[in-house]
Amino acid sequence: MRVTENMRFLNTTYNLGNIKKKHEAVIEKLSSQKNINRLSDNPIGMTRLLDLRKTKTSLDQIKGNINHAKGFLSISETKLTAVSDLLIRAQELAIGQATGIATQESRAIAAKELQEIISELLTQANATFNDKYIFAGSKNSAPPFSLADPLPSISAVTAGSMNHFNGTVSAQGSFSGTANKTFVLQVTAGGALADAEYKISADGGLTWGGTQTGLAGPVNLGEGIELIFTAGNVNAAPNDTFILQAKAGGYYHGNKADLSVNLGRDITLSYNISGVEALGGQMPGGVDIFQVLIAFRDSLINNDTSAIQAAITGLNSGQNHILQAIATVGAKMNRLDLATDQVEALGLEIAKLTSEIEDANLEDLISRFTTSESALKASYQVAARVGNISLLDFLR
Amino acid sequence: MINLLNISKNALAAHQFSLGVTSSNIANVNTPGYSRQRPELRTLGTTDVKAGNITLSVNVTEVRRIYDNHLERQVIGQIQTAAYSSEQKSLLARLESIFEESQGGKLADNLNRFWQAWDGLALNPDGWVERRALLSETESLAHTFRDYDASLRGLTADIQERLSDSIRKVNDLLPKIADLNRRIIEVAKDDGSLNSLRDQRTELIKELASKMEIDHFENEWGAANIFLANGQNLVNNHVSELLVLNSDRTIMISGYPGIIINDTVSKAENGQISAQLRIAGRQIPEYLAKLDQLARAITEAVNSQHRLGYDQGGNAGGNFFVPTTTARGMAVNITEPRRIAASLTVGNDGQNARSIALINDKHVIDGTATINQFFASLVGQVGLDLARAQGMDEHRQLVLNNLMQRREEFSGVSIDEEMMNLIKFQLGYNAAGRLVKTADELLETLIRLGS
Repeated sequence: MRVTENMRFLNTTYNLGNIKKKHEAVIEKLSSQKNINRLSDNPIGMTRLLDLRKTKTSLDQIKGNINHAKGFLSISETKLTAVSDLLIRAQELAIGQATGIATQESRAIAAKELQEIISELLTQANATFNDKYIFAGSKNSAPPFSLADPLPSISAVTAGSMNHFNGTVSAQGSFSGTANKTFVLQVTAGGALADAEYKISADGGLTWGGTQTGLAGPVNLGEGIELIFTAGNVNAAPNDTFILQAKAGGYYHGNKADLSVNLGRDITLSYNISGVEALGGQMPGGVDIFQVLIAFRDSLINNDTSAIQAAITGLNSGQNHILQAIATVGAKMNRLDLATDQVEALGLEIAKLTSEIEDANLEDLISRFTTSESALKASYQVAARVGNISLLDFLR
Repeated sequence: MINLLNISKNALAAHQFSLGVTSSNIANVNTPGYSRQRPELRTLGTTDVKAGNITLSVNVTEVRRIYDNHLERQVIGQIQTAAYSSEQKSLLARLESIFEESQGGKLADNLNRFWQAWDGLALNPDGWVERRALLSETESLAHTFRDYDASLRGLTADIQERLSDSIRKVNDLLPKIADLNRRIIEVAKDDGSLNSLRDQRTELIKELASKMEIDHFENEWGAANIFLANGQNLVNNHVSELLVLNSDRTIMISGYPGIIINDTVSKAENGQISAQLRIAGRQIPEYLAKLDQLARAITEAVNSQHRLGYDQGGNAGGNFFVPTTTARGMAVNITEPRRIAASLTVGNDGQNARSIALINDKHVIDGTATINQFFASLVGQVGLDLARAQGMDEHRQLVLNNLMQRREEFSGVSIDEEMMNLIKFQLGYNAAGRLVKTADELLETLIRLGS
């Protein structure tokens, strides 16, 4: 075999380059402490890494959701317990004042205390979390309970802020429903009032009735309410919405909507309990705690012994109602605790998997570093001596 | 007796010439593509024993170029494949840096934050901060999509530039080869005077081979004719063609109708041009199409859910994104935070935001992959393509290196060998000198005899 000068140099340069490349790769991993510094380092690992990162973000978000729901529920629990304590005090008053020993004076004093209890109950019932009223369902930017006017009522019609229709809309009739409702009328096909098509929802826009035509006459929303449209100079257009709040009898102004959070893929948890569930009213056979207390107060003022005795029964079922609500909250809290454990465990698992793919194995890298460094040293030594010796050295 | 002087004269000249050849070899020890040369020494003259006459002298009949045509063809073939893989590797490395998601902060991160913002809004549907945050995350998501698109298109434009550089280089090489052909054809008999021209021509062909897939053979007049893979002549004796690059990245021969190279015609993985065509014409459009698919899936899924909800003003939610089917068309439709339809009712329930956040886990791409899975597999594909190209390139460079070693082994200059030749020819020269002296002495003896 002939060995020419160029062969030697070519070979040495090529091998030196290869060894240096390997050495650089080890140095890069060592200095970044990462196994994947570029996509091509480990494409499959990178794909998994992106998936793991997504899962981690989801877990973080679920943790946030859980914390939010827990905070919400623990406030709910505190408030409900306070309500329960207030009811116990009211029960004591009732038992005390129901006997023949009670006088009109003692009942008047008790009525004053009861008034305080009612006001305190109102404060508890209108409690907030993050500026949201916790017992209001999804109508949570206004206080859900008010002692004024327990009769059914309907609000004025509010139009969507992007509506085209600029005529006036008014509501008439009296609400015959037993639960608070949000009626929505949405225009599906525009045109003059007589031609416009629309649909109606009685649950705030979640589900809809069939399409109907003609807004010219009184439009029957259902449950005793009608809307009267008066044309303006712009016709109704699709997606124009008209909203009307109808309040059933009682002191509750909120709704029964669920607020829920995601606890994972396809797992949701409703974390609120509405005012109806908490303090009753508005459902057939239910108890309205405010109503019970107010009736009790009035019976004290009126010195009506039989009514006071009747209040004891009402207060008992009110207490039961509250205890049920507290139990519901407790059950939701338990579910959240369970979810927390799962999320924490999963989080650890994800962190471990991520680290396995992403983080450099130092022991391995350092031994590889030492190996490649000695290889590099050796080839530098060889390179420095390539061509050091030839026949020339021996000619004189 | 005069014969003796003639013989030694020829011997002196032949050895001097051989020393010249040796010194040329030594001088060109580092010249790329230089093939070592060897003087061919032949006996000259006759032996006539009857007449008592022997005149066997020496002369140099030709200077032989030590060159293995077959090996050289192999080298040229390997240069083509190695140039393809090395160009492919360096272009894919640029793609890799566009898809650099390993450190976070790019599209995958944007997507995560986008869904997170929706989930955050679900907890506080009338929160102005949450609404603002969602809009700015969306802006940034749309921007990243457009950025990806622009980077990929920018790379395509860059490759177009590289292509036109390559074509310019090819158009520079072809006439040079044709010119060398002309000079080689003009010299009728080849006694070694064409060796350096041939070496030069081989180097030019190698350079051409690194640009594009070619075939070549040397015809009976010594001209190297160059062909494309499809048989199209690029250099025929002293005539060369001119290549033209069209704006749609097809390449034609000037003056001839018909496209000779494009990314589908050129199936072979040979030469830089082929790599440039393939990446600009197939790989990047494929990635772009996937990005478009992704942008479209997000736009459509979010829009259709968003339309089911209500904004803070009690209006039905419109399109959240500007309806688009491409990554570069990705843009937010909603400018006012109030207009985000976070709730499923006209109340404040946040359930629509929650539903939109759940799209993250839905198989919205062809019903088989989630958005994140689809993107992750796209990123993985880019990485795999590059990793494969790197592996292929490593192998091809190794083969090329081996072939070059073999070429050097055969045609390269060995200093030791040339030193030996130097000693050999010097000895021969010295001996021939001594011969002259001996002849001189013989003559003198003869003259003395006659005097």
